[in-house]
Amino acid sequence: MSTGIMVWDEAGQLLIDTSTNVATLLGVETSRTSGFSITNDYFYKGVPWFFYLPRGVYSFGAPADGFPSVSFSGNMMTVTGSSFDGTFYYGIY
Amino acid sequence: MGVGLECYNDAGHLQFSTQTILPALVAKGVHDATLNSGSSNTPGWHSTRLDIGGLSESAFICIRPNDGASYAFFYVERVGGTVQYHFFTNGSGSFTWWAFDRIASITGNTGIILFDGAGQVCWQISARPLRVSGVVQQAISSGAIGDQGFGIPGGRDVAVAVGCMAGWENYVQIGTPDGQPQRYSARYRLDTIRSDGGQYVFALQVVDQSSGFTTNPEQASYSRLFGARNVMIVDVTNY
Repeated sequence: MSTGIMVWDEAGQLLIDTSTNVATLLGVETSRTSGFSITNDYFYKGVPWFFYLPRGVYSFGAPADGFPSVSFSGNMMTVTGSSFDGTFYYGIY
Repeated sequence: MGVGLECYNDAGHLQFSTQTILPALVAKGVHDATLNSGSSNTPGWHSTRLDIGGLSESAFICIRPNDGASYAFFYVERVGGTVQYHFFTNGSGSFTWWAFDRIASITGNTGIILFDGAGQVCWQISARPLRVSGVVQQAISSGAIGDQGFGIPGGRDVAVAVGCMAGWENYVQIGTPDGQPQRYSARYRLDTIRSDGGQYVFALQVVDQSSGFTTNPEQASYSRLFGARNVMIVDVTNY
């Protein structure tokens, strides 16, 4: 390794080294129903990622339940769309 | 950062920090795809529900199919202290799941532990972190999304983080099953994962309701959309 940290578990299996991409979670948004943006300088420190987990029931929305469109630029995550019903997770790896 | 500790990899990407949340492995299990089966109205497919207790709102799971069946994540809901993950599958085997969540408490009394400014544990050296092996992404447009594969790295065990797969559901006109026009039936288009040799294959599957219909033209315009295919592949080797 060059510089950094290496971590093994109790069985001697390598968990982390300097080539590992470890994901960190920067936040969770649970009550958003329309577009929003998040500014966080930690987006500069890795590759941004997000999840959207729909919170569901066996019924259909009217108007249609929307799906989010997510983009990253610099230190900002921008979510567009409307009528969301779910949870957003975002972070970097 | 102000005070604290951060560690970066060779690419200059953050590995862990006292300023962020480190998702760590908190639970693991095998789910029998015939458990909590709830739908007999979708030929070739049935629903199955995985219940996990004790997870925070920061938690999410990864799965690895243990057979050649296809699995589609459908939705999630929290019932009391239990998180219920709903899937569709066309098989009767099983999948292995791993749950990642923020570290809630210290385990053991040796090693290195990092705390954030609020005194919360944010990293422990013995924690199994969420190691990213790759991502599979594709924009979704109504009616079309292609298959994609992800080659499993040799010697590694990888799983798919659910909750970031494409899909939608709506009503479609089904002709005149009772001799009358304007009959509609539910149709699910769900992004599925299956294990195929040395790779995972992601494919959108169409699952139609087999019986029953609505005559409500307004309801026929209802729909539910999940989003683009945006799948994280997680390295769970030795987890």
